[in-house]
Amino acid sequence: MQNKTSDIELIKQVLAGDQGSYAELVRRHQRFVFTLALRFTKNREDAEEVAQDCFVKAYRSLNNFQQTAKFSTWLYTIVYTTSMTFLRKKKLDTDSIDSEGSQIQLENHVSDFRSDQVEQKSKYAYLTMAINQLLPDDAAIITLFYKGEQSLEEVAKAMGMESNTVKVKLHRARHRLKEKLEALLHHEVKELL
Amino acid sequence: MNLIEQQVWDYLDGTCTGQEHKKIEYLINNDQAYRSIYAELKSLHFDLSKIELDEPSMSFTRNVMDKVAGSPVPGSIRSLVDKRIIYSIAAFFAISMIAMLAVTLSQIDWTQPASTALPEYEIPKVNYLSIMDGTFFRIFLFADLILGLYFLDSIMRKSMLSNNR
Repeated sequence: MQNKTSDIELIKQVLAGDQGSYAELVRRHQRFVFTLALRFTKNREDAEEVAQDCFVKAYRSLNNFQQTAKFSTWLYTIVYTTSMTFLRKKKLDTDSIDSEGSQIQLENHVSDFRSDQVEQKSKYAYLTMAINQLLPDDAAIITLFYKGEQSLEEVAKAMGMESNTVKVKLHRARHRLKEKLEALLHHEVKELL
Repeated sequence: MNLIEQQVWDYLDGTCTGQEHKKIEYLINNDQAYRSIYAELKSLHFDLSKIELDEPSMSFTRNVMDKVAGSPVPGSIRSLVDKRIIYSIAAFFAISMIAMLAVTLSQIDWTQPASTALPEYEIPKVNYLSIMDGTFFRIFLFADLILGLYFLDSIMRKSMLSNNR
């Protein structure tokens, strides 16, 4: 609640002409915006570009923000639409992301981890790897729900969908995540044996 | 995804009704299948809420602020142009047009002429060469030249600025 009030206070200061206050807003939300962009782009350079673009867009249309809603929900709407536009521009085939691309990423991760001692792998690292293997939409919905402190209704608003659609999509995304995680862990057990 | 999983996720998310919540809770306590799925999903649910967010580069905020620096304060252009001024200008033009239309219509002779033949009208002859030689025409051309150079200069300045960025 405190966070929400502070965000709105900062926005008022920006609208009054204090551009420096926007830097504080950026610092506050940059990690989540970057993570969400990364779920779509699947590489850090593009994610950084998309995330920066989102903050610039948010700044330019800050006067359109309805201060009755959460700033984060409004910002995530911008992230979602900007990321989707980015994907369309890049003409990424979402099916190939699921199979080829993320497989390559996974192999890189595994080899990196192997060199860093396999036993130090945490379950969170596996979980992140499994999320990276999901389709962008699935990865984004899980990130928004668990890390964005957004209710199902707010996630729906950010993604421009109905609450029930988001609920079903979240169930499916978690199911697919569980499958990916099981496959990863199974692969790892085989490697250790 | 099976029904048990879906029910357990609803239970964990708190999206089911009070009655459903009690029913699922009872099943978790008394049904082995529900209990094992609950334990599994609860662990995943917990882990998902604990994963770390990725960190952008150190210069992220600075890069954003650099991009934003050239932009005007959000909404400043709109606040300068009051909507009432725009509406007043629109109303002025609308009233002027209606008034002109009314005057034109009131001056038309609506009576039917006896003959259907159109009245003859001779187009006045204009000596264009005398206009081209006139002092006013030269002044007009000179002003155009000045304006053209001014706009060319502003376009070149803008392109130079964007190239420097």
